[in-house]
Amino acid sequence: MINAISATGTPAYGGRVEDIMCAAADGFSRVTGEVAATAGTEGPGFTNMIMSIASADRAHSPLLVLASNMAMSNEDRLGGIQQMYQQPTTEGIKKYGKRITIPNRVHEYAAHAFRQLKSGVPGPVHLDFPSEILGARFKDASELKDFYDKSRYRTDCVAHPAPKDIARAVEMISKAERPMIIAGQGVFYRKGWEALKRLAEKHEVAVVESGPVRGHFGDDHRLSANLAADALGSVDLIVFVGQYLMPNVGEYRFNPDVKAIRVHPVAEDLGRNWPLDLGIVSDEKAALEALADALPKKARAAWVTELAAARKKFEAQNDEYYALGVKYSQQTGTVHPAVTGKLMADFLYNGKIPKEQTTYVQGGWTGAGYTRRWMRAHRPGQFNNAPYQYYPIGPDVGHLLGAGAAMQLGAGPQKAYQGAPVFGFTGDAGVAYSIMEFDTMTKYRIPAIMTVHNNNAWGMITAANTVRSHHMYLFQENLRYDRIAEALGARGEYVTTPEQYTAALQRAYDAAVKDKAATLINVQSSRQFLTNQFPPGAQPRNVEPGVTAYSH
Amino acid sequence: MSVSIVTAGLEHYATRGMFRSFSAVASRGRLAAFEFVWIRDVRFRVTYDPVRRALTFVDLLPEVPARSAMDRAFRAFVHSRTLPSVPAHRRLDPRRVTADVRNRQGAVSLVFTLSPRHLEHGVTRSVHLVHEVIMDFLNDSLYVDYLIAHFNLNPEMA
Repeated sequence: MINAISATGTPAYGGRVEDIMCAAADGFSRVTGEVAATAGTEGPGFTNMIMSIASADRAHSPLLVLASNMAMSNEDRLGGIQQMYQQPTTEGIKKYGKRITIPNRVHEYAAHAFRQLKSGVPGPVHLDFPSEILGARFKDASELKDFYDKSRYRTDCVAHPAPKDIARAVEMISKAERPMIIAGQGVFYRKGWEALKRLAEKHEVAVVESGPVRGHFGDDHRLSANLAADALGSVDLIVFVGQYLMPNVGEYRFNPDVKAIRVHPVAEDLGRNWPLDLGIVSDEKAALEALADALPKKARAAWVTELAAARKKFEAQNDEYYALGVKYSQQTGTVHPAVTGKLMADFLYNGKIPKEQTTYVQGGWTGAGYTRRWMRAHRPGQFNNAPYQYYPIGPDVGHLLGAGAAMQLGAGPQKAYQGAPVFGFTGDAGVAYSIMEFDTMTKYRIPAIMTVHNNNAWGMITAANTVRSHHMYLFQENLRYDRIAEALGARGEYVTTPEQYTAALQRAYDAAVKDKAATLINVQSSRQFLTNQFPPGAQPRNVEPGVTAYSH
Repeated sequence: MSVSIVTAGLEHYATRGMFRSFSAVASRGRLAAFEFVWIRDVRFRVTYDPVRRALTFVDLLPEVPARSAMDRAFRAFVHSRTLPSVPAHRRLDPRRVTADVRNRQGAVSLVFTLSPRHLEHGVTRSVHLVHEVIMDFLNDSLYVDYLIAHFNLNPEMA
């Protein structure tokens, strides 16, 4: 099956670990908005993929899981290997699934799959097919039960908002003093970013991004609230657009009197988790365009000033953490993650590289609490919040590989920066799951640079409340993940000071540009930074939505 | 009269879907009392004394030793909400409502005294300030263990 797909000329990548390649497909989808397929062998390969299928489900990625299966003719005989029913295993972590058992219905179920992947709210689709299906051959389309073109088995038609709903929304937004649009991933998937910008600027509505991918509004826009955590409590009207996975009351920092509008492509989810004052069934882009057309020009000077003040406060706090991080780094002879974040951000956004160029994958756990505060998105699809919602620890190199493939191919909104290196961040716990894909990135000459925050422990060591349990969270000290990458044909760097890190970033970037080389930068840190001995300790508490978000 | 205004002010949040399992409960003497479930499924108890116009979030913060660092920080936080650095629409205006912190044997209650002419406003500001206590004051790495112990924070999310 994978041979057949590859033979059509569809770009294909073969890797080392099914789960991580599944994450790579998810990562590709997240930064392009396009469908990606992933495949694993019958039993072990498929079950290995479960973590990343679940993660893709929470991220609502249009991921097509194609998993072959053993012959139906051998079912219940326990005579062979790798037999299992796959579909029950993906129950609750897919949008649609089907075990195809009748060979001449294969095209019909492919149509089912793509209708689900390309319509409404995306999500994983899981098709499995016993070897009787794989072995079937057809002389022509007349032997198939259903066979008609995609123009007939699905539609690109989308729901448009009712005029009365737009009128009501315009009234509510106009009356609000401090309105804010929560622009979820639906804005990205439906390519609604131009309409979003037009609406926001015309009526001076603040925008905060949510979801697994960021950049469809941009962190540096004067109306962006991505860094303005302190302003969230002032909002008097929120407009959810493209928020596929709704937060519960209390998960977002808005005040208890905030009014809420939600735009969503299907009615069934409106009102879920968050009480609404107005629900609008509509395609995200269509609704944003209608609102941008209908709203009058308006200036909200006081609100814009408050947003700017909140951003300044957030950045001042970042600077404070950085200063502490520098001090702690000097004290320990290792690198604090606040320093890693600042230096990586300086390299990518404040140096010679155009700030819009680099697609970034944010992984990791405790280190991410610091680096997430520094990393920015300036254009659609620039930032993949890899552990979004499900929070798997580990597939970060897979997401980096997926983003790298997207850049290599110039897919979707990555086209403008085709061939540029991609950057990522992960932890020493996470990289252990996915480090083998440095072989894959090297094989395919994907210029990817992964920073590994190496603090010699699981992040959950903070839960080790007795000395006796401590050992379960520890790794050997100062492991050389960089040397594993080298053994896999990639470049490796090992750094113990901030100055070494900056120099390593430059060498990695130069090698990525010149030789299409992948690099693992092993940044030696300390688990002591997780303790109250080095405040603020494990990680600063996050506020959602905005740059520190990972749940919604 | 003021009891009905305060009751309506709190019921407003139940109607909006913010408070769950909202109910008026039996209380002693002149006090009106209410219970509801709010953020992270935590149960809150609120009383209202119409004579003193005192709206009290009873035992809002349990297990905070008097004169401890957390006690002091909490008092400073509540006071900070009256300062000009807070945007006017979020500031606590002492002419309309005041907030006092009471620590009895480690159980901290927040007592709001409402101005008779601004009862509705007073209820709203009280609810907002309690919301800020949970979302802002307690959202500090210093209080992660406290949130796990008393405010249903999932340790996996800490």
